[in-house]
Amino acid sequence: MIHVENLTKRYGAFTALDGVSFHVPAGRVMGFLGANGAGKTTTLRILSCYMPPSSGMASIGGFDVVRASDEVRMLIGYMPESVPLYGDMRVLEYLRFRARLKGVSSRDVGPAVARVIAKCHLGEKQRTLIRALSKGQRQRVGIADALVHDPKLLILDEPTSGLDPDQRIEVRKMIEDLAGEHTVLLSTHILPEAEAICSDVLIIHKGRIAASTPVADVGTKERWRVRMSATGSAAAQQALPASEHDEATFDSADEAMRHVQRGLQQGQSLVEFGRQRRNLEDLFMSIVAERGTPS
Amino acid sequence: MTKLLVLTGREWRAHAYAPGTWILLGLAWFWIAAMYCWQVLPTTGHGDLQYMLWQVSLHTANLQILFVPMLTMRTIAEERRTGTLEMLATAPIRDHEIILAKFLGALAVAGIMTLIVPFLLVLAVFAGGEPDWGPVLSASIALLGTAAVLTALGVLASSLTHNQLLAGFLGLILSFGFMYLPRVVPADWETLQEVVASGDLLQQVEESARGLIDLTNISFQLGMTALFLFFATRSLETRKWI
Repeated sequence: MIHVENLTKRYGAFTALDGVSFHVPAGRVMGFLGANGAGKTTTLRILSCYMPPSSGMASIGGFDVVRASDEVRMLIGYMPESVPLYGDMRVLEYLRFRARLKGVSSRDVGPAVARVIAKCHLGEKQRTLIRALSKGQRQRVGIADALVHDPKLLILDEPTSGLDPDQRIEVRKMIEDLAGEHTVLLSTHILPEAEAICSDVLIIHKGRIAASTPVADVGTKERWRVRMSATGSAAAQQALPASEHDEATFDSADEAMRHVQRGLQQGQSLVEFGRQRRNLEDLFMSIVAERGTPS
Repeated sequence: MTKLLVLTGREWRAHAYAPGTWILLGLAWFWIAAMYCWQVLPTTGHGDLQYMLWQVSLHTANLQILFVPMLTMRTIAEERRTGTLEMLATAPIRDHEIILAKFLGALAVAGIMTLIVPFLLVLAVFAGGEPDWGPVLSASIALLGTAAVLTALGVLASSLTHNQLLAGFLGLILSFGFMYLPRVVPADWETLQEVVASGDLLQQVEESARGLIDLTNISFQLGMTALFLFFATRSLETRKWI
C-alpha cells in the first residue's frame, strides 16, 4: 500500500528526513514511532501530499505522491496532529462538507456521513457546533472526517495526544475497530498504545528508520538482566564504575555471563541473574540510548 | 468544478454567518446612504441623478478600499493559523481552487455592498426621479470590477501571513496604493503617469458612471484580478518550496 524509497526532506540546512525507506503492505496497522522531532510528522505530511520531499520517492496504492497527488489524496484519509476543524460549523454540516470536497457524490453523502457518525459514536453530537466539543470529541470528528470517503489508507498523526485516559481508550478502541477494514499508518510516541494496536512498528530516529519489525517479534526477543553487588573488598568496589554497581541488561546470555565472571573476579557478588522478554519500550530506549536523543 | 462550488459555498456561509460581515456591510451602506442624503441631495435634489450616480459610485469605490481588506483578511491567514489549511490541502483539491473559492466567497459579499448603487437609484425613482438605467448598469459593472481587483489583492495579502490583523493592514496599504498611485504620480513624470493612468480604477468608475462601458477597462480589471490570484496561489504553494 505504501512504498517509500530513500525519502529525504531538508528545511534549509536542517535535514528532517535522511534517506528513509519502508514498505507497508495493505491491511496492516503500522505504528510509526519516534521521539518528538524525529521526523514522523514530516513523513506523514509528505505521504498526505501536503508537501513534497526534497528527494526520493513515495507512492501509495501505486500512485506517486508528487506526480499523482490527486489520486493519492482520494486514497487516503489524513488526520493531522492538532485536528484542525472549522469551529463555526456543526458536526453534521462539517462532515457533509468534507465528504463533498473529497468527491463523494451528492446522492452518497447522506449514507457516507451517517456511516462515519455511527462508527465514531457522534450521533448525539451531530448538531453541536465543533467549537463546543471536548478534545476527545474533536478527535472523533477528525477520524470521522478521515473516514468519510472510505479511504483505503488512514494516516493518523498522534491521534491520542492530549487526551485523558478515558478518551484515549475510546479513540484506541475506535482505531482497533478500523484495523480490519483499512490499512492504517499511525504515528505515536505512546509505546504501550502502539504495542496494543499495531501489527507492525517502524521506529524513526533523527530522520532515519532505526527499526522495522512486526510487534509480535518484539516480545520474542529475550534480554538478560544481571544485578551485582559490590560487597567484596574495598579495592573491588572501586574497580567498577558506580553505574555498574546495580544492574545491567544484555541481548545475549554469553554477554551477561562474561559480565558476571568479570564482576566475580573483582570480588563482587551476584544478586540476580534473570531472563526477561524485551518490550517495545526496551527496543525504543535501546535505539535512543545507542544513537542519542534527537536534536 | 463541484469541489470549487462546495468550497465557495462554505466560504460564503462562513461570511454570511459571521455577525461581523453584516455589521461591516451595514456600516458601509449607512455611510454611503448618509453621504447621499447629507452631501449629494442638498446640492442637486433628485433632479440631477447623473451627478448623484457619479458621487455614490465614487463613495462606494473609496469605501471598498477599507471594506474589502477587512473582509478578506481572514481568508487564508486564519486557515494558516488554525491549521485547517492542512486539512484543505490534503483533500483532493488544488491550491488554485482553494484561492478561487476564497476569492469568490468574499467577492459575493463585496458584490452585495455595490448593490447600494442601484438600490439608491430605485429609491430615487420612488421619490419622483427618472434615472437613466444604462449608467446605473455600467457603474455597477465597474464597481464589481473594482471589488474583484481589491478582493484578489486582499486574498493575496492574507496568503502572505498567519496573522489576520497584519493581513488586513497589508491589504489596506496595498489597496490604497493601487487605487491612489495613479493620482499621486507627479505631473512632470509623463511616461510613468501615462502608464499608471491607464490603470486608474477611480477614473474607470467615474467614466462608467457616465454610461461608458469600456472593454479595455474591464480587461484591465479582469487581468489584475487574475494576476493577484495567481500570486496568491504561488504564495500558498510556498509550503512546497521549503
